[in-house]
Amino acid sequence: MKFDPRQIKRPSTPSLITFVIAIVAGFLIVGQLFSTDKVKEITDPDQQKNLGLEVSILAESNMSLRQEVSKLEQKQRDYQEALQYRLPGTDVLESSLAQYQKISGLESVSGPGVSLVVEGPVLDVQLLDLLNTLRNIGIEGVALNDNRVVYRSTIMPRGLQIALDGLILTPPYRFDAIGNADLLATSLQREGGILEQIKQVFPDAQVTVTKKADLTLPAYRGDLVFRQARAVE
Amino acid sequence: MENQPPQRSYAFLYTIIFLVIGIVVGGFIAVQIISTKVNPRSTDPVRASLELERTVQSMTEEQKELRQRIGQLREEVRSEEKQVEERRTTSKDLSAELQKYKMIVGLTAVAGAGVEVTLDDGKYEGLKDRNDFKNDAIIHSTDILDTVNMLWAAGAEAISINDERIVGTTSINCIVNTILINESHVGTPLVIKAIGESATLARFMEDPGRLIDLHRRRKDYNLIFEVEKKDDLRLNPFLGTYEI
Repeated sequence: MKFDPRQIKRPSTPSLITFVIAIVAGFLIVGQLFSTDKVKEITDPDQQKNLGLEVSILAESNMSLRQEVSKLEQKQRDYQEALQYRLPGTDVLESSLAQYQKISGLESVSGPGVSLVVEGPVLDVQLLDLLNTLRNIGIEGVALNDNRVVYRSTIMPRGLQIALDGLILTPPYRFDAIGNADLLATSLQREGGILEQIKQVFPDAQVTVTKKADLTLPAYRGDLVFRQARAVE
Repeated sequence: MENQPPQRSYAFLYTIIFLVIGIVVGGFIAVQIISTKVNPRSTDPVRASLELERTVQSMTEEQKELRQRIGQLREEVRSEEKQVEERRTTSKDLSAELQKYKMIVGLTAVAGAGVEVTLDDGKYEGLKDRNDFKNDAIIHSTDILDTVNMLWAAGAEAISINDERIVGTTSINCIVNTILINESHVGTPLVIKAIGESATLARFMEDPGRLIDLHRRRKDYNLIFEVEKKDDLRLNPFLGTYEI
């Protein structure tokens, strides 16, 4: 049979109705598939919990950043004043230096905080995780068994023992951390937190957190030398 | 059958064609509407989550802007500090001490030889045990922590991860699939730049007796763990805050 386009008739009414129904059906099927997956993903309790956690971390971080902006603006005003009125400006420089010395760990510092003692079995990586947790909660300085921890400090195994910056530590292990004592104590002891994880691995491990009104951390005993790194403007 | 009019078979053909086109077009319209119009009403259970997502986005944006502002202010302060130092009223010792400590606390950009370590999730293809694979083929915050710890042990003097400078208060954490360093999101691949004696740093990284788990997972699960010596690396200064 030869195809003759003139023989093609206009689509019948039932065909058009089928067409419209099919569009609606397609719309509904795809819509249903998409919305079910999307709602499932969005309303997943874990996802919500994580988002909430992210919001709280960001809120805290942004608040600290805003405070830092204010401090820097104040410092800028102090320098501008010293330059404008021909003041020595030494006091501003000295106060900056004192702040950096505190942060560096090369000076002894005092303040409130917590003492965290781990008795019994513990791994070097668990002490590393504890240090990371303390830094995450927010600390101004930390020492482990009376040795100041600095930015490039390492916690490594030495045979069956644990060493901080190459120095073998004698158990029990005690972190003294300066910071908000209440916040540190609460965060460390929260349910499902790092202390519980240590207890899960080593049920015999005893971990205690004690708030301290006044802790003194010694200065770092080593030297922070730069042999390869050079400052660039 | 031979005498059946051809129009009838065309009508049937139309029905089938329209049915297929209809479903496809309907689907396209639905996709279009869903993807462009996510506007839940107040009673919609997804609203709270979407708002949280938007809050995370806007706060991340604010964090970025604040950190840029801090970087800019620190540069301006440094320039004014220099002008104060250059006047004869300030002792040279004080200026030198100030610069020394700024470098130690990570507030100065630094450059020098070292290594670049790249960490990233492994590839999934051709691996049998998927459950085991999922955990072992993914980079965790503890892997980054261990690598940084090992780089310091190898004598690194300064480290940054995707331009986040590691300082005394830096923590490295993971919230599900997001890695946070200095409370900032860090994407993959993770590029760890460490300034120090490059041969020693590379030797520590490549030694199969160290970072044993990373070496095993690189071999078994195609985890990306690459080490490259570099003659001149540049690390940006820390842009966060110190709680003092």
